[in-house]
Order: sequence, then structure tokens, then C-alpha cells
Amino acid sequence: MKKRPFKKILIVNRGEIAIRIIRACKELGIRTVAVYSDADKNALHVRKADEAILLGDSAPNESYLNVEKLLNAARETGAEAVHPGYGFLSENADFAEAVTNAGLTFIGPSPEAIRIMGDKAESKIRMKAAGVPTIPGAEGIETLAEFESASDEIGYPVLVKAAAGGGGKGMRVVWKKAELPDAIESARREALNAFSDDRLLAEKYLPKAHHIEFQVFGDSHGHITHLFERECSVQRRHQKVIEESRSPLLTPELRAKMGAAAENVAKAVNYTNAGTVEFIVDPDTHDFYFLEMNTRLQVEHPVTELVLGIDLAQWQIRVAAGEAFPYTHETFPQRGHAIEARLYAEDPENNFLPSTGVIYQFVEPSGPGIRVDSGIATGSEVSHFYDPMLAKIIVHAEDRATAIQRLQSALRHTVVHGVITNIALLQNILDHDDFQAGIVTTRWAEAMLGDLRASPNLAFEAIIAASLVDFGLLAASSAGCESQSSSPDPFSPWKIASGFRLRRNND
Amino acid sequence: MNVLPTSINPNDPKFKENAAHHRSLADELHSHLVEAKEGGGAKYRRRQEEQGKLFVRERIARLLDPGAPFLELSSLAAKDMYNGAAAGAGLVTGIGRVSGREVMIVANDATIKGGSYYPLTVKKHLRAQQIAEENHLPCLYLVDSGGAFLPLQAEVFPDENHFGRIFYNQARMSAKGIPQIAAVMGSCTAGGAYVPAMSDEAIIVKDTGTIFLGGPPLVKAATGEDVTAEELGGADVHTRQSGVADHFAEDDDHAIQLLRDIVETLPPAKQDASYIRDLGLLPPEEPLYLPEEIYGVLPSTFRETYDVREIIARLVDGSKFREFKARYGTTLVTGFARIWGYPVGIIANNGILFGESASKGAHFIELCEQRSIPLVFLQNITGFMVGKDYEAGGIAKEGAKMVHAVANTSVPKLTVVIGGSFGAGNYAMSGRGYLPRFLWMWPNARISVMGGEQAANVLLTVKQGQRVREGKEELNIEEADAFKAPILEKYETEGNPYYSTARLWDDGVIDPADTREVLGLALSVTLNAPKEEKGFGVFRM
Amino acid sequence: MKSHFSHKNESLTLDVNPLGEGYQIRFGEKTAEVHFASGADGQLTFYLDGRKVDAHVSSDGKRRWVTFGGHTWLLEKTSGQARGGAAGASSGRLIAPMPGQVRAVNVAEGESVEKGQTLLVLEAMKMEIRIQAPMEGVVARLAVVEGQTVEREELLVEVDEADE
Repeated sequence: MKKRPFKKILIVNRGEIAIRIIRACKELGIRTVAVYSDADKNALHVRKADEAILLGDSAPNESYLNVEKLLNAARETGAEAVHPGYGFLSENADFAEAVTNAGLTFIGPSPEAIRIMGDKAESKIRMKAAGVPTIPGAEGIETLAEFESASDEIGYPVLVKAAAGGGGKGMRVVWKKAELPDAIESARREALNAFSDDRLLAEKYLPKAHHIEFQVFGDSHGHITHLFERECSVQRRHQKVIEESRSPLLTPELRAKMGAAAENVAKAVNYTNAGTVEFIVDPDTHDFYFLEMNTRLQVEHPVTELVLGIDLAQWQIRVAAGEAFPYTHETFPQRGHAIEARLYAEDPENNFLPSTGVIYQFVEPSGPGIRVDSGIATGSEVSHFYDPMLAKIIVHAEDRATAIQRLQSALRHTVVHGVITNIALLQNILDHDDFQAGIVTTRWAEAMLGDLRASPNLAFEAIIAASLVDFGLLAASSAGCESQSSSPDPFSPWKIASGFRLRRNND
Repeated sequence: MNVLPTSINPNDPKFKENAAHHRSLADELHSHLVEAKEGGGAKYRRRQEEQGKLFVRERIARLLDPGAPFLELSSLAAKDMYNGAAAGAGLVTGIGRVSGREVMIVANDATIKGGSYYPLTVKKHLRAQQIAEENHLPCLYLVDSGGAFLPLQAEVFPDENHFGRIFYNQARMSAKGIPQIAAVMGSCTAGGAYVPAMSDEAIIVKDTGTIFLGGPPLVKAATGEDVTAEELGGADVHTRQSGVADHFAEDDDHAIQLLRDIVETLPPAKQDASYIRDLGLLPPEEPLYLPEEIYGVLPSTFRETYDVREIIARLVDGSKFREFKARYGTTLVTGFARIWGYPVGIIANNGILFGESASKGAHFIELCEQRSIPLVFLQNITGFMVGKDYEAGGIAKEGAKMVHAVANTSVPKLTVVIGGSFGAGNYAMSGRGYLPRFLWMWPNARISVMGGEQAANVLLTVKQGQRVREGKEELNIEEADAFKAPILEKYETEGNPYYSTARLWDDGVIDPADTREVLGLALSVTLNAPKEEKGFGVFRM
Repeated sequence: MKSHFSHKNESLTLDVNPLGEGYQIRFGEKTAEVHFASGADGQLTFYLDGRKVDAHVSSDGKRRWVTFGGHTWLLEKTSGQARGGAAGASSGRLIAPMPGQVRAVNVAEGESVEKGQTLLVLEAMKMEIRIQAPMEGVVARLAVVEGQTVEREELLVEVDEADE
């Protein structure tokens, strides 16, 4: 039997990722400690872990983001290492440092690597220095003449945007020189209003770009390798919706080039553990630019796991314990195609508002090549405190077309009752010609939203099924949904539509 | 478990003769039931339609879940009474499934004297409430009644089990957590006004529904005020101003929908899950033999005997019966079986009761008590054995044991009078006085203190003795027959099941072929109530 | 029996009649025969005109979640027809809900009004109460003027429903 990397790990996260990590730990023979807030008292991750520690109030600051409480939980339970999952404190250098200072192992990169990659400006400068292509741009420019010469150098179209920017405010796309004066004028006015700071910068604008990221992995012995790409171009407001590997855009040459660039990025910060280097790629020119590096396990990591047949979560733990990562990308061929769809509790027809409630019924799809990483079960409560992602449905097949078909079928066999979900939206994306042709860019989903959020017409069968429930025909299902019909008297003759009357020749 | 064998031959002429006889009795029953369901007749139903109101049976049909069973109670109440003017006593009661839940429905039939309460209407209403209370069934009152039938007010109003008891029951049931819901779908006057007022939630229908303690004529007489019924107590007034009713319905259909909505959102039935689990329900199994063969099994007169196991074999799941004390006190058959998957203890008469039969019955009731198994009594009893030896053997004492056991057992009892119900046997076999949850009669059944023939002979013997003492000659055969004839006729009339059911001595006359279905429905109904405290253990006697 | 639902503001009415063994269901123009097969753990199987239908259904009283053929719909149970909960709610006779003073009259007799349009404003107990048109129609009668004090239940304005 292999040596256990740790005896006990504290998982400072919730939902599907906490369960994903618990699963990895169980295989390695490691005991797990979950943490939870008041709202998560009955959550699935609490039930699955060997131990669980209540952090307190449901607000993240009082629970999953509260460093002191988390470290106390580690001390109290004698955990040796801390896995941050994604989100919450996973990319917080201070937390990683606090964990290390407490004499525990942080399962992830060094605090320094986290800090550098967390500073977007700093990381861009570093990557430029390391020879990694970054989006061309000009900062600290003020006059029209300065903008004109900068734009000529960058090449049109150009994005003029607020230096203090965010949220699309103070942002103008300029297609040719003549538009520059107006664009600067209005962007400046908006920036001043929105951020009280009228400084602007210019940047290359990619009207259509693919989001392609590379998984990288490093160990504490100086070995760093990439583990191929994931394409995540289906996005809505920078929220990824569908991810896949391989990317339909990449040629072997481009893949090799980008992979090498990703390794360079990681090497520039002496990266250890799992990380992701994100690029945007111009589909026409095949130019690619470094966007940012995520210093943690990504939501979409299963796509890589399926295509490569490797368990990234397990290797995170083993590498953190000092083990050498024995593989390079050459160890693995990219086998077939994997796609992940993120199931959110949100209402696409109502501005994607999160939908909360009790899950009355959750049926996971299953079958060859179907994997579901979920954080809910029938009876779970979806609260407004946390991310509305319910589950990830991931499929693996020999080629992209088969994988799409498999995911379509899996979504048809996914049942979520109790909250509104984006299943119909996911189905519409998968059905769309553009997606099937692999030509989707990062702005596609937003642009097509009108079509994509259309819901199917109400089926006659569905109305009948809804009405049959009222006749007490449905021996009820689930926790939280106990109705009259959940009688302990299952064979009652009252449940039969016999139309019985004492009088013959019924009216 | 043993499968009961059958020894009948459907081609036997005797069997065919019996079958024809009992089939005709069943047909007669169905024709009475069809007649009763017409209520006050076409004319009054049309009048009701013109007011935009649905006929009471249509209201119930729309209220029930589609296809759901409806176990109607005392359909033939007041039959041939009150000059035949009150079919079903002007009230339809029964258990049905509404929004997936078993409920008691109590619905006035306004086509019969405007839904007025005759003495038997009150009795039928109270009986439905009693069943609801014993079995924890929510009560839905579809109110459409002018209140007490004034010409008979003395038999309706003053006594313990008269009109006032209706509201007492509502208050007590509500306190026990048994929902009381009323829909006022017609007039609801005087005492009747308390039905919605005493309900947990009340619905009233626009235009047709009115609630007031005193109607417009009474108001006019009392205060001289001129008001319309609608102004005085219509839906608008009561849902907006008085708060006497809670929900405003546009019409009968809407009121029915609101009722269904209310039932749907009631807390779940307080079924005693652990009790039901302990019972160990199984999927039901049809009997091996056709229930319709009961017609041929039953002899056409009480003088002939038959084996009651032939009846049991046509009522119980898979015709499987584990008999208890088969070799002892053989005139009473006791044993365990299932009906619709529900375990039951069956006690069936198979001849006259002897001391041993009675003590065996008491022992078996104790077993069922200890195991919390509901009891089904198949009553066909001509009485206890009489004679010097039996009296000296203490038959009264043995009988008393069984009566004690029946009176005190806490398990639900269901009684079906499948033949005679004469004398003290009625008590030991859970007659009406012993509060079985339900009691039904077959059309061939007879009930009286003793059989008509016996009664006539007893009276004749007394008469002859009297004549001898007076120095007169005994009556000759013709004279004796003439003496007996009116007695026989009286017993035949008063012992008839329709005489009984008209007076609510039972919960209805049922077709023998429906017995299994009726028992299954009733057994399920009894499970709505929590288990009662056990009364006693098992002491061998 | 009738079953009423709404789905995305559309109201649906099913007419269900028991047959010997199943149900006849009418929905708009459609008529179908339904035979119930089984129902447990939120799964429902029935035959629709002889064709087998598998569906998942959950219910929490008012709402019904139904999954059929790979799609999920949320239906709400209603009590049928756009029926007002209380008397007068859907009638055009608008009365003062409490005693107060008419602060503003925004319409004139004969004027067409939209559903939900504020017809007049009543001030009572330091609260402003907007009297709104319960449906599209025409102001048939204006019973008050600005500044007038009104008693509870006094008629304020009458709206005649617009013809379809």
C-alpha cells in the first residue's frame, strides 16, 4: 500500500468541490474535516466528511472566509494540511501564509506565486519580461496625439478604457482613427462619473476571441509541465458556462506553442501545485495573449482529468506532501473529447437571478462516459448566501460530436425540481450550429442570449402529469416535499381510481 | 398460511337457486340506491339548476379526485319514512378522496324540503361526524339547508343527540385537530348558520350562498326591517364585513376548487406511522374465488346451514386464512387473514353460540388486542344455545366474557351482518351498541331481539298457558297460525335490513359482492386515527 | 373535475372526467384518454392515448415541477379563472377602503384607462392610497371631486370593462 501523504486534511470549502476533494482523500486513505456555516448544516459535504466543524453565521465573512475560525478548526481536529478548493480563500496569499505559519501544509502554490498572479498589472509586466505575449496596450497617455500614435502601434480596433475601470463603464471600442476624439471624450466623462478618475488607457481589442487555458502542474522539486488545454469560450458576463478539451480551435503547432508559453508563465514564478494559465486567442491570426493565471484548481478541472485519465485533486495533495510529479504532457495522449456543463440555480428568463429553495428532486444522469460532480441531493437547500452552481455534468467520448451528443442526452436525463435552473439554456447552446461547429467566441453567448434562453413550449404531457398529482396518485417523493400522499399506507384502495360506488351502474 | 378450500359446485342446482335469489336481492338493493340518488326528483333539481346551483351529487362528484372511490354512508336513511318525502334523509354523507386525502363529506340535498333537517337527517349528520371523529377524517360540509324541519322540531331540537350536537361535535373535533371546513352553497339559516361559523375555514358562494341566524321574514317580523337575503347574509357581506366566511366563491365550481385547495394544504393526516409499520402491510392479493359466488353460497333461508369459511374465502387476500382454535367451539370461526393487504382478525358465526364458542371468541379478541390487529365480525347469529344443561354450564357467564372483550378492545372493529342478528349474539358479535367503526348489512340480513318464528312461538306458548289457566281450550292449528301471522309480519317488517338502514341502525346495506372492497376502504380509513391505548392482555379461559 | 394551472402568466384549464379505469382529459381543443400506471418517488408513469409517458413530478402545494422528455417546467396551481379573491376586486366599482380625503383625481368621466392606471389618490391616516383601474376600460362614473372627504366604502369611481 502506498504511503499516505497526510493523515487528515481540512477542506475549507463547500458544495461540489468540497465533495470532490473528500473523494480524492478517501481514495488516498486520508481522513477529512469539513467546515460549514449555519446555512449548510444539512449540506451534503458535511455528511460526506469524516468530521465537520461549524464555523458560525452563514455570511461568508463569518464562515468560509474567516481565517481565524478556519485555523482554529484545523487545530481543533489535528488536520495536517488545508485544501482551499476554488473561490473563497483559494487565491488569498495571506491565508496561504497564515496556514504555513500555523505549521500546516497549504495545498496549492506558494504565497508568493499567489501574490504575484493576484496583481494583474504586476503579473502582466512579469510575463512580458518572460517573453510571454500579452495584450498590446499603452498606459499613462493623455493627449489625442498620444492616443493616436499608440493606436497606430497597437493596430485597430482599439479599446479605450478607464484605467480604474471595471464593469464595462468608461469603455469604448474604436474601429478607426477618426472615431478616437469622440471615444476619448465620452469614455473620460463616464470614467470620471463612475470612478472619480478620468485616466484612460488603450488596449488591443479582439472582437472575437477564444478563451483557451492551459492546465499546469509543478512540484517542489522544480519540475513544471503543462497538461494541455481547455477551451472555455462559452461565457456569460465572464462566467464560464461550458468548457471542453480539446479546443476545437487549436492546431498541434499552436497547442505546442501555447503549452510552452504556459510552462514559461509557471516557471517565471517557480510555480508549484495545480494552476491554470488563461489566454485569449484570435481565431483568424492564431495570435494568443496571456490573460491571467489562476493559482488553484479550476472548476472545469474534470475536463482535463477525463481526457488525460489523471486525478488532479489527488496529485495536488501528493505534491503538497512533497512527492515529485512524475509526468510531463508527453506522458499523456489527449484521449477523445470531454465537455463540462455547469448547472446553475438561476433563471435565464429573469435576468439570471439566482433561484433559491429546497431541492425536491435531484436525479443525476448516469451511464458510460458521464460524470457528475454535484454538491446537492434531494432535500438540499439552495440559499442565497453562496454561489448558485449546483453541479457539473461532464462527459467523455471518442470525439467532439459524440461528446456533444452524450452531454445532450445527459442533460435530458437530469432532473432538478425546487429551483429554476439553466438546463434549457445549456441545451440550447449544445443544440446551436455555432457551438457544434466549434466557432464560438467569448462574446457569442451574450450576443445570442435572445435565442439561447428560449424555453421549450409546455408539453401536454407535462400538464397532465401536473394534474395527476392532485389526484393523490403520486406516492410522494422526497424530504422537504412531504405531502398528503406520502402516506405510510402504500396499498390503500383509496389510491386506486376505481370509481367505486356502493351503487351499481355508476353515474 | 392455509388456503381455504371450497366445496361448492357452481353447476349445482341448489347453488344456482341460491345465486338467483341473492342476486335478485342485490338487484333490489341497487334499484333502491338508484332511486335514492335522485334526491327530491327532477322538478326540484331543475329549480336548483335555474338558481345556478349544482345538484348535491354533482357537487360531490366534482369535489372528489377523479375516479376516486366514494364510500357513501346510510344512502337509504329515512327510506319509506316521512311519507317517503326524504330520500336519504335529505343529506348525502360519505368518505371520499379529495386532493389525495380521505375526508368525510356531509352535503345537504336542497331538493328535499330545501335541505331541512328531519330527525333522521340529524342522526345521519351526527353519525357521519362520529365516524369522522373516530377515524380522524377532515370534515367537508357542503351546506345548503334551511335548518330544522319545523313540524318535527320536538324530535330535532331539544335532546342530547339532536341539532345542537352537530356544533358540539365540530368544536370537539376542531380541538382534536380534525379540520372542519364548510362551503355555503345555498341557504344556511338559523342553527344551520353555525355550521360555517363553527368551521375552521368557510367558503361562501356569490348570490346563492347566504348565512343568517334569522332570515328576511323573521327580521321583518321582529324589527320591521325590509332586507333581501343577499343584503342580510350574502357572500359579499360575510367575506368583507362580518368575517363569518373566509373565502368568496364565484359559483359552485369555484367553491369546490377552493375546498380542494384547502384540503391540499392541510397538514398531513396524523397517521400513526409506527402503528401502521408494525401492522406490516403487504400488497393486496385477490381472493382465489370470485366474490360473486357468495350469492350461491348463501342459502335462501336461515334454516339451512352452510360453512362460513366459504364466505371468508371470498373476502380475504389469496383466500388465505390462519384459523385459531379450529377444533374448539366450532360454531364460531376465528382466525387471521388479510384484506387488501391489511391484517385482520376475523370472527364469524358458524351456527348457534355455545359456551365454548363464546370463550374462544373472547380469547381471540384478546389476541388481536395484544397484536393491535383490527377485527372483522361476520355476524350470522340466531342466538346462544338454550336449555337446562347450558344454563347450568354457565353459558351466560361465557357469553359475558366475549361481550366484555368486545366492549373493551381498543382495536378498530368492523361489523358486517351477513345473516341473522338475533338476541344476545348481536352483543357478542359487535352490534351497533358496541361501537364498531362501521356496521353494514347484507340485503338478506335480519335484525331483531329474536327470530320472528321464535318470537311467534314464544308468544303462542305464553298465550296457550294463559288460556289453560283461564280454563279455555288451547288454540287449534288454524287459530294458532292466525295468532302468529301478525307477529311474524311485524318481525319480518321490523327485522328487514331496509327498516334498519332507514333508521340508521347501520351504516348502509351493501351488496355482498362489494364486501371485500368496502372492508378494504374502511380498514384504510381506520388507519387515519392514532392507535388507542391497549385495554388488556391475553388470559386463557 | 377541473384542474387549473398557470405557466408564465398563461392560464391553463384541464377538464378531467373519470372513465371506467382511467380519465378522459380535455384541454382546449385536445381530448385524450389517460391511464395511470404507477407513481412513486416523484416518478409518474401513465398512458396517454395508449402511449407510455414517463415524467418526474414534484409538488409543494402551489407549485408543480414537471420533467418530461428532457425538459422541466414550473406550473403554478390556481383556483381557476382570473377570479378575484374578494368581492369587488375584479369589479369596476371602486370604493374607499377607509375614510379619507381625495387628494387627486387623475381621470375624467368617459376617459379610457389602462389596467393598473392610478385613477385617483386618497389620503387617509397619513397614508396615500392609489385607487387603480382593475382592468382596461372606460371611466363610467366619477363620484368624487378633489378635496372631498369620503366615508369608508363610499363609491369613488366606476370603470366599465373594455369590450374584448
